[in-house]
Amino acid sequence: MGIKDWFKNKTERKEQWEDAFHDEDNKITIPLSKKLDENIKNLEILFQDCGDFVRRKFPVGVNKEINVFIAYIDLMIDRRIIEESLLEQLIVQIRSVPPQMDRIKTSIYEFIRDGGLATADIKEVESLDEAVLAILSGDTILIIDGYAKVIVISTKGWPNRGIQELDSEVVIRGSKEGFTEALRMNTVLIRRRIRDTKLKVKQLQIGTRSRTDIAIMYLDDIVRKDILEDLEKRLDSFKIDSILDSSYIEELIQQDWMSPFPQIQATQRPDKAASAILEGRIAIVVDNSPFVLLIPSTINNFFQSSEDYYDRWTIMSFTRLIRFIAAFFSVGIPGFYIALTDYHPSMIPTPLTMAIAASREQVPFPTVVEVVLMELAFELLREAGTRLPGPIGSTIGIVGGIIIGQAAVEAKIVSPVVVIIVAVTAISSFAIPDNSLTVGFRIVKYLIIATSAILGLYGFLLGILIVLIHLVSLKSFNIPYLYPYVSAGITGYNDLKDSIFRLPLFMMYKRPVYSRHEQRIRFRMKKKNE
Amino acid sequence: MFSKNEKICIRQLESLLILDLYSRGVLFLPRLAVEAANQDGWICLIGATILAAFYGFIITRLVRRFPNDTFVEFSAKILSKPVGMVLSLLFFVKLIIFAAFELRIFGEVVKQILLPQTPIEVIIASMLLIASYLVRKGFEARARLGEILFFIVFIPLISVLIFVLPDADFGNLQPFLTTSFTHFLKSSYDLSLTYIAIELLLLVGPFINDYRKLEKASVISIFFVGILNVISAIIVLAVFGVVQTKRQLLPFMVLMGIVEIPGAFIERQEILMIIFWILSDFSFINASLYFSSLIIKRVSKIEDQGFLVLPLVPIVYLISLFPDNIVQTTDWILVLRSFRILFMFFIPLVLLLVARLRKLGETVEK
Repeated sequence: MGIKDWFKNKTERKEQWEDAFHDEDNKITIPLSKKLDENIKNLEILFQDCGDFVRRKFPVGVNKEINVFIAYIDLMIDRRIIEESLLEQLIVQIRSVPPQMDRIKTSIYEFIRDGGLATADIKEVESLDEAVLAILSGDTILIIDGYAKVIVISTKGWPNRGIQELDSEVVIRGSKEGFTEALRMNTVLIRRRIRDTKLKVKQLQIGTRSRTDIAIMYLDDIVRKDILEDLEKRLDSFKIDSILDSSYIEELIQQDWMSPFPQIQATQRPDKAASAILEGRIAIVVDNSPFVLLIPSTINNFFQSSEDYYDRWTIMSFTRLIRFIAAFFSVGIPGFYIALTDYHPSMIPTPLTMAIAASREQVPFPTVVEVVLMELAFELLREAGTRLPGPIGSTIGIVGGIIIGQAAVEAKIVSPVVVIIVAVTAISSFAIPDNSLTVGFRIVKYLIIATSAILGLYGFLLGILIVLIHLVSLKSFNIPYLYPYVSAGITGYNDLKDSIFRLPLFMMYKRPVYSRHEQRIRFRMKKKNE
Repeated sequence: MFSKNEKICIRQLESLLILDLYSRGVLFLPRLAVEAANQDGWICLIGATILAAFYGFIITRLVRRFPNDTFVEFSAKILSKPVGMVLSLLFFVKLIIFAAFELRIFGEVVKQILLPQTPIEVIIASMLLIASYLVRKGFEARARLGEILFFIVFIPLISVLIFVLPDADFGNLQPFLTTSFTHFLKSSYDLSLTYIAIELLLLVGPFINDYRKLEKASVISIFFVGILNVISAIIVLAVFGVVQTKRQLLPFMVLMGIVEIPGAFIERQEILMIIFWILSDFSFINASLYFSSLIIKRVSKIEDQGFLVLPLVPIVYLISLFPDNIVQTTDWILVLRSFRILFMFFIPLVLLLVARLRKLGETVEK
């Protein structure tokens, strides 16, 4: 915590946002006035040089004696709603109502609110800050002369890319929908899967400048209150100017910021989020991000794929096992190879030793250099391939595979065995379903290469021990990261049913540890007379 | 549920205790047993296990009276503050010295089998640093690691013991029961001293979430390790015979070397086997470091234990390099042997009796 505290002290000073209109948190401080012209003047100042700001002041009524003012941001609104439900009502329809001015005059605000707006989604705000925020979020405001209140009409209708097929976490069997950038669409995708009033969608805004909408979704009676409180406390513990992606939130609320392992799961799959919520976990949906965060997350979650539950349990249990082995390979194989060939060649069967020695005969580098060289070459290929557009990306694969692999061996820069080792490591790392965990393992791999190169098999073991010690000390929202492989006794080893193996659904009749203690049962057989 | 108060459950305590108990004896124990009573060595091991269970019983009885205290506090409560302080410091010194010698033996074995050209200082220092890294992570992390190591250590080990069986000639065990009863008792007592890790129970009181099951945990752990030790002694004896076993410094390692696992392609699998022993020994060294820093913490009433382990690292390191070689180290351990029984048996017994007389602590409810 040392560095974090130091950093906290450094940033304790107030940021220089204060001016006549804003306070230190970039909130607008000036109040609404009863005079329309003053409000308009304030808004004009605030929206000075904002070319996308659209406003209109116009009189209503037969005698045109009351002025109203509407404002919105261009194209963030649905123009049809504004024109049909708002302007037409106010400008055209109201005129045809026989004026009873003496009666209406005192209650013109209520008259317009109740009778002038043909839309259900309106609300009233009483501060300029909220009014401006509404404009900036794509709503339309209506100010009536003589009232220090603003009517906000929900007219959000900005362009988005719609629900599309997933590009990561792909499954063969199962839903193909993916989360998208619009917050409301994402919450709908989850809501569609859980039709329960206990599914709560708590909304808040983070980011003093971006004012990003964030929705915390959970099942009220299943979620554990301590985790929920912990989350709310952590979300409340910082101030940041903007949240551009859910990963900002992830990084700011995780427990151990130095760990290479992800402590919060991010998913693009609505069914995964829904299943997590049904297990008592909490989903954090962040506007403008197609990745939904799931807390708490243990290492087990990162090895689970949605498909595990959609396909036959026998085959999926086998697949799970393969994944765990792959994870171990992706971390350990290069280090193990170095340890064996450099320190304990007597452990390898003699014919294989001969083969390795023969293939290394003309290679000028020590094994470590060879392995690290190839690993780095592979990292390079991966990085180049990720950023390039599709067609060129596959070219990189061919160039990398054939030219670097084949030619490097023929040029005697690396031995073919090392190419095999690196390839197996790479393929294994792709077998882990969650990309962020793969990244963590990739870093750890180099640590183990280093310790194995220094101390052989003993070093390999020490490297594994360091990683294990780190992992056992990690916690995600106070749940041990290695759960249920450690401390599973707390739920009577129930959670091991969904770990290395995935047992049939009817056997996993209890929810995992994330849920509240008295709400564990999720499945039961119907009795005969039921 | 999962709280932040560093409590562990009985199951976790058992796996920690089993690892700590096991690491001490496994490599030498078959030889020690055979040296003590020839082909009846394994019977003495049974006696030793029962004795150790008795020590464990005394200790757990004592700890149960003071569920929220460690040795530091309850020895002060029972025998007045100065005496308690002296005992605690003695305990601390004992833990440090035994950790250091254990570390030395560890270093020598690793050097001999794994890294003949690496200086032993590097091996010792790296192990010490990693053990202290775990100490800094706290008791809960230790318990969780213990759960994982338990499976990594014992599943391969037990399966290997099964594969040795074809090489065993149980005729080597005959004739049975040739040792006299007094000799049997003496050998059992000597061998029971390898269960030294049982004294660590004196310090775990405040970390256990259900202290009423402490006795059960100690009995289960001791018998688990005891049975494993007896079986390995029998197999070592059956494979090598009395004369051969006495001649090997580390008979168990040699045993691992001759195993032929069907279908296995790795040669010299004793190297792989030593890995399991390294893990188990790591657990013991870590436990000694943890509890010695815990004593310092409790005596000095400093909050941050992770910081306290750092000054211990160079001390343990220097003590471990004090003997010249492995033979001298084992000699030293022999010299200090009578010192062991102090905290395993006598001091807990005295404390328990005095506590009973003075009616201190919670009485054991039936």
